[in-house]
Amino acid sequence: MTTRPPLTSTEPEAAGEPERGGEDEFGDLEPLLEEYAGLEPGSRRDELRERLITGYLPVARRLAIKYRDRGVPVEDLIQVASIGVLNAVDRFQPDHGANFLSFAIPTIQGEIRRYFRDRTWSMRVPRKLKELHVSIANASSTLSAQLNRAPRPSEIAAELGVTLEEVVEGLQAGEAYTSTSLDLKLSTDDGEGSYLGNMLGEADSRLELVEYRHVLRPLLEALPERERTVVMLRFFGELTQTQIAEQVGVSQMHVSRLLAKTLENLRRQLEPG
Amino acid sequence: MLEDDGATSDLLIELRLPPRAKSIATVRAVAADVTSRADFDLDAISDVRMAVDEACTALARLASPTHLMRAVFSLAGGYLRVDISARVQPPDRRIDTGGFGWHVLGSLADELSTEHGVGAHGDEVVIRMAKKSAGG
Repeated sequence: MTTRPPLTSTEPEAAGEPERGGEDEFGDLEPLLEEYAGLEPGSRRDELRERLITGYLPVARRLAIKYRDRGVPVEDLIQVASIGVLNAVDRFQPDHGANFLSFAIPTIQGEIRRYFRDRTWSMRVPRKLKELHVSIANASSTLSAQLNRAPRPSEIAAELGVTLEEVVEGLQAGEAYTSTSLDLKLSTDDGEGSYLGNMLGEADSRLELVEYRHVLRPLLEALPERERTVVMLRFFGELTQTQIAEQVGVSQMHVSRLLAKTLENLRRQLEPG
Repeated sequence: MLEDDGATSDLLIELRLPPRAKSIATVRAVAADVTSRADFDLDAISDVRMAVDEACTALARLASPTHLMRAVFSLAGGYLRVDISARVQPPDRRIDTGGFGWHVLGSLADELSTEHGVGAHGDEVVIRMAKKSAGG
């Protein structure tokens, strides 16, 4: 396991504050913040919220990029930072005389630090369980290809010559442990194949039919492409995780984690508070 | 609601929890555990785990903070059934079945329903889900 320098509160800011951008980069958003804070729930408020969040996303991106050398995909960091933007927009009180960025930047950084803290905790899984988990992931890929569906724990146990109990424990360890070795590309397809394109098109037309699409769509658009693809295929394309894994070129376990994480983020955004 | 003395039932486990995120994380882990032990395939295990998380979170938003929620897991006829219930305040609150959360539940579960105004005090909301063991 690699050791990384501790995540201190001063380090990322040390390079100055270019994330603020030019003085008037967000000038046209400021009056909207005031209007937003005074509005009752309703479509105007939803519309403003969306514009504000989209407008301030560059701040999240700039802050997230500062943490890019810490072994986490930068798109994951941007997603985490975007939650900070959502929270900042929802909590900001313009009448306190404060500048929005002075409020938003620490909020976003807090969200990123919390992510790293939780992630560090999740790495403390005994080596033996990690190894078992990697074996399970490999066996699962092999079996999925053979069976043309996701394997059962008993089938994985038979394949690896271990007990069912060990497989159950190994699967649980996987929930706490994010291994980059599980993110191995299983297919050389870059994810833009025509089958995938067709499935996404179908999923998209189903999304068009639901009543809450106006709220959901901007949130989906803000997701990294891979996350958006798995959510669309699972919930609007009705593909199984194993089928998605095959299309996107990652393991089923990785799809499972991406889905769980993305759902949680979407839930937080759809139901602030 | 599963009315059963537990002696002869298909009941696997029943949990009571405060409507809080930390406790929901535990129920989610239990959901994955019982589904793995019942030898559902990996897709189904992950689906049940996410569905239980989604349903508990939706109910926790409505739940009376001073009462425990309940999660009941049972297994019969190749189906894992999960009933999650909470006493809500005010008692006429119900699950929004027109939103993304409910849509997600519908994709994850093979059977899904909700009822409100049930329970001994008439103030419970329940979400019932069932997942079929693939090919079984």
